[in-house]
Amino acid sequence: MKQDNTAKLLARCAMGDRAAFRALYDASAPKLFGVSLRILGSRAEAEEALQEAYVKIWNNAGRYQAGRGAALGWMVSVVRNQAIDALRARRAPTRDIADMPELADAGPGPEARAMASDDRRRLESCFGALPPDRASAVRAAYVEGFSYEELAQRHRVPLNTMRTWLRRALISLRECLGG
Amino acid sequence: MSGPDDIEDIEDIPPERRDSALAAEYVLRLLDPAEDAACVAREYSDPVFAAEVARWQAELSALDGAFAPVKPPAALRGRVEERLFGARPSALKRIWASVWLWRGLTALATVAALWLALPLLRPEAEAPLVAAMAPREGGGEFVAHFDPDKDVLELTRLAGAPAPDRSLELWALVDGAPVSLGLLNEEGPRTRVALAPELAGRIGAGTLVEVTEEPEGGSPTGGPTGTVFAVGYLRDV
Repeated sequence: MKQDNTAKLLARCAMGDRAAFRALYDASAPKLFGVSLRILGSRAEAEEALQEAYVKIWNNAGRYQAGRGAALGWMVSVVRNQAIDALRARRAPTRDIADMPELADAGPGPEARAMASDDRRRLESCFGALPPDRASAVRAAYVEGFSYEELAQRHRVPLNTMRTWLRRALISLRECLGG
Repeated sequence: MSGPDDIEDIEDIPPERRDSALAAEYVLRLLDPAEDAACVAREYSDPVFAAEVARWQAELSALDGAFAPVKPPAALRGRVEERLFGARPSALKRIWASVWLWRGLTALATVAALWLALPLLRPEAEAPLVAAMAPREGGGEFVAHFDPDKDVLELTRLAGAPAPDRSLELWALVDGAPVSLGLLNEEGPRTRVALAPELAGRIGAGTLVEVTEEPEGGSPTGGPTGTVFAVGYLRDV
């Protein structure tokens, strides 16, 4: 398995290595800001969420375990969760779905392609086995941080229908990915 | 029409599958506040559930390709570092302590080496640090002197020489990781290294310094790869 340079930097952060943090920031900030901005839409809020995420990354660097996915993926999950927390805390809980274009998949960068190609292929293949609107709903929940209400609105189905759709889709995915 | 939706009833699905779907909904942040809070608690108390959550997180991260990178404002890095590390650290200030002698060196050799290595000490200066670097098998002897006022580390070779096609490289162990301070001077016994202030700020009494034998031109990896030639700890003078 290729060396995970990000994991090494994280391990050094866990030991308090500030130079390692700077290197980690420089290598990851565009990706992580991309996550924050995609979910929050507003640059000001995205910057704030990114800052909070890096504080959590520094303080919890020792909790990343190599066996559970790539280090950058762990960092993305910290930012994604931070951004969704900020999203849910907003006064207007749902975004105007009609205004959000169906954004095309930007595609993985070369490093992501090299490192995660097997996982990505497996997931894409399992997604491909789902009805397209179910697959789209799962993706949108992950990438946009949509709630059940927003997904129901987006697909023009009742809330309970969306819940059932999604749970069944997740069960199918689990069976396909390996139970 | 049959298809993946035609599971007769959600209750026909075995409990572990439903629990797996719950773990996925949790990762996808789809749960209402009460269910979400219950799952947070379960992550701590139920290792099987926690493992399923981690599994979904790792698998769904294959979707991360959808997030296009966007350069954040340049000022953000400084704000984050200020938040994490506070003001720029100053060099450690130590009060005077007695001279530390490494047992392997003769007293005369050590005193002579230290006398050569130490500049005139000014009372108001920050306390310099020295290391008597003991040889490992087939290695050499050095004295290292660190001047925190000038952020300079000076190394004086007392004995030993590397093999013909090898270079000697100097390292300091900083925050648990070896940092290269460059190759030793091959022309004479003294090597003088000017350190970046950030790095110098993290060197103090107790910092390990070592010399390793590397391929000609230095380590190709950024970390020490060769045998340890000499090693010692910086101490107050």
